[in-house]
Amino acid sequence: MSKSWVLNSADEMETFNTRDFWTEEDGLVESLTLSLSPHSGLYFSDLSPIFSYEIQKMESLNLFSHLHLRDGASLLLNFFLNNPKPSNIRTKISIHESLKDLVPSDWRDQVQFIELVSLRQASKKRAYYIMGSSVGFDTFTHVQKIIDGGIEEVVFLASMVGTLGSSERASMGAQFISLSNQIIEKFSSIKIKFEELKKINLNDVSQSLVAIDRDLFNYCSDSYVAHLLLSQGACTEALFAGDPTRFIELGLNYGQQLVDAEIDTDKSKELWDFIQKMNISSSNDRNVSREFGQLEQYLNPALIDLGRTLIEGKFFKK
Amino acid sequence: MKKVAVLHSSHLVEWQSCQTIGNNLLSAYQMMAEDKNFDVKFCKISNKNELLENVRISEKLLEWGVDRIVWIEYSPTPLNFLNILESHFVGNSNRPELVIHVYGDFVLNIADWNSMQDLLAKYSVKFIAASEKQGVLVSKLLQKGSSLVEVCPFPVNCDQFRFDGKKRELFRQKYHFENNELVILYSGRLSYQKNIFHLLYIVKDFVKLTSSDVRLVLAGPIDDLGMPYIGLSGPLGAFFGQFKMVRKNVRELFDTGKVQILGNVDQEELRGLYCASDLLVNLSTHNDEDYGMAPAEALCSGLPALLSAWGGFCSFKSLFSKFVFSIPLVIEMGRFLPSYKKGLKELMSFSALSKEQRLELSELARSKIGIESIAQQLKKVETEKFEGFSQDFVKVLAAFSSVNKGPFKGPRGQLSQLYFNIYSDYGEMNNE
Repeated sequence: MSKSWVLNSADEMETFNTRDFWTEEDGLVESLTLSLSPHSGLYFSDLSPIFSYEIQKMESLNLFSHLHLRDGASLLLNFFLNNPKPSNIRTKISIHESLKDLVPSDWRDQVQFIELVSLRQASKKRAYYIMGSSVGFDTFTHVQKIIDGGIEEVVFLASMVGTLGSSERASMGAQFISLSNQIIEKFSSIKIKFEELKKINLNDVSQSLVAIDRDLFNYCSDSYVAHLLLSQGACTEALFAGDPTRFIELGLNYGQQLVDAEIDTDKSKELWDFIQKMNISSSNDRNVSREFGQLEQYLNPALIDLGRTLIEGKFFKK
Repeated sequence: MKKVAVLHSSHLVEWQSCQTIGNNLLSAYQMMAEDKNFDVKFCKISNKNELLENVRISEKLLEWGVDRIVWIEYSPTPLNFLNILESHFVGNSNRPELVIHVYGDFVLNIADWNSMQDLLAKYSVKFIAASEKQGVLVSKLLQKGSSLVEVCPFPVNCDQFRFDGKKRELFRQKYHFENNELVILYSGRLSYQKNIFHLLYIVKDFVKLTSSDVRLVLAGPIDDLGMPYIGLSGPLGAFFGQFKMVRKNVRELFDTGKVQILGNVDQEELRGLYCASDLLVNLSTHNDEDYGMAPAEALCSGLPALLSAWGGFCSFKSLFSKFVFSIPLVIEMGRFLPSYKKGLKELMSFSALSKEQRLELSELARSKIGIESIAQQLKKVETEKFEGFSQDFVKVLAAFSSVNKGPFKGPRGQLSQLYFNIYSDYGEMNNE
């Protein structure tokens, strides 16, 4: 049987959008938001999108019928490590469908899966490729697939999520230059550009394709950058399946679509047994300084690695 | 022969309309260059306001013996350039005249203008406003007021924007407009600032009352700017969220295909849409509506317009009284809004123009706001000694300096009395 939405009432939406009514921006929220910038920018949706680190008291979740977690794999693992069971939480939570194997089976009845979809197909003119913090084999495969689709130009939008420390930044900068060279060499047959988000002419993105590097999903599964481009007429890789009852419109040509996906309980068990066996701990200290600003220092590094392995599809044996 | 240097942008500016304005002003000054009384030089200036670039340009111009410097771009303001230019002069030595085209964001950039006060006082200056209302607003902020301000519309490229009967047919077919269907076009940002929801409600009642065969076409990108003057801005998608709620209230318009939302369209498409439509509508009461490039281009395309009596739109009523229908304003919900009743009444009494009338409007618009016509006006500009900013300017500056978010936010969260004082002459109120 296909799933249907449980959405917030108008009152719940108003409460959600008046954030300071039920939560406050503490040092952790400020530093992690900065760390995930520009992907962490706010956007409006009936699904009430939020990062788990913005939730200070789990009980406040019950103010809402539905919340959409924008977390990437590592943040989501941290959230479920802190909250292995929903306990008295009644709120329906949606997450990106690519993260479904991370959900502990105790949360199964409360989690729904979504994806970003467009109402129309992109033209072949240009693709905006939103990068994560590194470039891997997946990047090349993904870009090659886009190029094989007949795209004439790929614009890479750089981001270095997770790291703000000066030494790491310098190292990332060097890494980025090296990886850019690799991309240019690999895809010399088409027009390649590297661009900063703020330099994109938003009047000219209409019908372009928006693709997101898998690596970003370790940090953020719901990027503001994607929403910004889509709101100006760009198109996702996935298309609307045609059922308006399972679609939340976010702009003239795109929205979030409910996906029929089930948690694989065997995989879920395998993952959470592994976490327990390896004694991987979560982070839950909200008393970080506002200058802290580094997701990678907040989260247990083992979770970031595990998240990456999951994203790359290398964790599960089958 | 007067040596005129036109400083213009070497980069793409943020707002699409300002890009067009910059290009068209440049063309107007290029036309001025053909006049033997003027020797015109063009200098590109970047948005980075680089010190060395400003030094290089100012040295070059002074060496050339420039008589007049014209600043045509909205961004950056001339602040950094003037600082460098002034460094070349000592005491009361002769300085070139300054002609500065000002835009709707004149108030928004008040801190920059304030920083220029002492510099400007050493020059003979003219501020060029694009409309009467903008002229009045800028005058209010200057000592010696109106003598320092000249009104000269932003020019339109009438070779691109003109009525074309064949194009009309082609685009009516392309968009499946029926022969007798009245096509009302809005072109511009789909934004809270532009009163788009107000427009939808008026069209809904118009259809209900007249059973007219109407289609409202909305062409432009969505923005979420909200009302920054009172510190109100939503996250990305907030406007669309509101739009979905309003859409429920005007459901019948959408269900019957009487509203068509095109999103952002390119210039070529827009030219076709201006020819194919029967009426342009814009109900904006946005504080930066100093001119209205969309109505200007539409009028040049022979498209009559129904406009709120606000800012630059009022000038179109003066220039094209037979073809522009104006909706006076009321104050509702603590802000200026076009009168709903008057808007509905104007719409009900409107009948589409014939091909001949459209050609007449197109020609009239060319003669009034075409590049050639504006080039002639720009030749006549005379400058005056700048004597500083006014008491009103000081008050607005204080509001911008003291309030981080929402300089015109009143005590109850709505627009402040200061806003109503400053913008009191920007609109024409409904006196009935």
